[in-house]
Amino acid sequence: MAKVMKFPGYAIVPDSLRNEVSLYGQTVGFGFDLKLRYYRGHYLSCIDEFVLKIDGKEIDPSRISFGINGKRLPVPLLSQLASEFWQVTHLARIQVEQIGGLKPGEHELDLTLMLRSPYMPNLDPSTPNRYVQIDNCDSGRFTVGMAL
Amino acid sequence: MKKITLGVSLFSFTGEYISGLFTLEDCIRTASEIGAECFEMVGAQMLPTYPYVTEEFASEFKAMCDGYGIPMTSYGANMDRGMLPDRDLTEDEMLRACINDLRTASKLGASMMRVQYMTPPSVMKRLAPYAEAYGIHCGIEIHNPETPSSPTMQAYREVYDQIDAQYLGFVVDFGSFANGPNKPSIDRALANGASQEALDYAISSCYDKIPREEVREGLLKMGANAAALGAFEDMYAFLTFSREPDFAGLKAIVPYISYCHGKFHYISEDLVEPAIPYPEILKTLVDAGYSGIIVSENEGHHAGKTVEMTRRHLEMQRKILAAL
Repeated sequence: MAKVMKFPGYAIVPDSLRNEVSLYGQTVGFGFDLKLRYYRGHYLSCIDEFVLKIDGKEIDPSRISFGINGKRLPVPLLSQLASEFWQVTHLARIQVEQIGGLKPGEHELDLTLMLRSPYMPNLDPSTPNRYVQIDNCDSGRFTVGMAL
Repeated sequence: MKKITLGVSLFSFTGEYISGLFTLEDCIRTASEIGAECFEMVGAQMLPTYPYVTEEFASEFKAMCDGYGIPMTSYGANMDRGMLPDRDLTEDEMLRACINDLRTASKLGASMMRVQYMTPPSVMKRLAPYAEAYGIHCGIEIHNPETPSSPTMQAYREVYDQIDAQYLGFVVDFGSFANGPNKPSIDRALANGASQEALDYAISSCYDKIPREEVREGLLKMGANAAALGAFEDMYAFLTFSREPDFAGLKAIVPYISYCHGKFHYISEDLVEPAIPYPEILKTLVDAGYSGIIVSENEGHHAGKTVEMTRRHLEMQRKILAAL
């Protein structure tokens, strides 16, 4: 078994980058949809690494939430969420708190998202991981769409 | 004599399901349309309330099965032993997870459950009274590179014998008896620039059971590209093959079989799976008196024509069984 599995296709959903506007009409952040690029779902506690960079700058994880199952879950808590299941057909909504949001136009998004496949032990002693990893990383230039 | 029942694992439609082309209902309808007599569902893939079942979903699910006239006979459970970041689940925790899976399988109407080998024999032993209480036959999956005779699998058999388990057994994946390289895997490597020379070397090394590291070094010396190395890694993991598949081992465990996974990656128009010797496998099973279920399990998700391939797989098995 390869130490890292990477399924084909996108993770950051095209045309999903939008600013978030409060009911009071103020832009309070931005977000995008995220696909789990695998054949089955996973508990959020299987996320080993979540790093988001916008235009080359890393975002403080405490400002990022992972939206799934009707909840907005703080990214720093993901590893503790062993009963929150991310269905493979459900898109997660990743949201960043940032008053003023993103400027109109194109932005460079770079997401590092690594998961464990928790039933596939890593049999390669040369790597420290207990389980085979799933590479759900993605990056590219995305245009800010109309806020919904 | 009772005939073997041919079903389909909805896992066969993974590509259609994860791309949003098929809903769960589409998967069930399609299995029925192509002639499956029953089906299997992998919970972590398609159960919307995983790992639990709500009353609402259970009745919706029953309506789908009844509507398309096809029962779900087996529930594919996963053992996520590594679901916590800092440690593996304990045996107690694994047992609780298995019991929850039994409840889920039961509510969905299944009479059998696939259990993964992360669940050790000691936990299976403790699961036995629960499997019996729920009336669900639990089988440890024998998946490539394991074979029926491998020590890991024999350890389960010893426990089953020790307690004379009536509701524990094996789910045999026919990929364990592959006798040739996987066609879609080789085709994909070639399409991605792997040289025929590198692939031939990897294939003959796998047949000759040359140690993995030695072959890897050899490939690197030959200047094999990433596609060739990827195909090689798979050959030494979940796509292993052998000149002498473990048919004797298969024959010996027939009384312990819960049901079978009819693994395939590609079926030609003239109904042949080039890497898995179906005529020999089915003959071994029938000669040993097997009359249970085989669910077709397509794993050639990138090879395309999934539905047609699965239909061909059912047809191929029917043809072979009719001639036995």
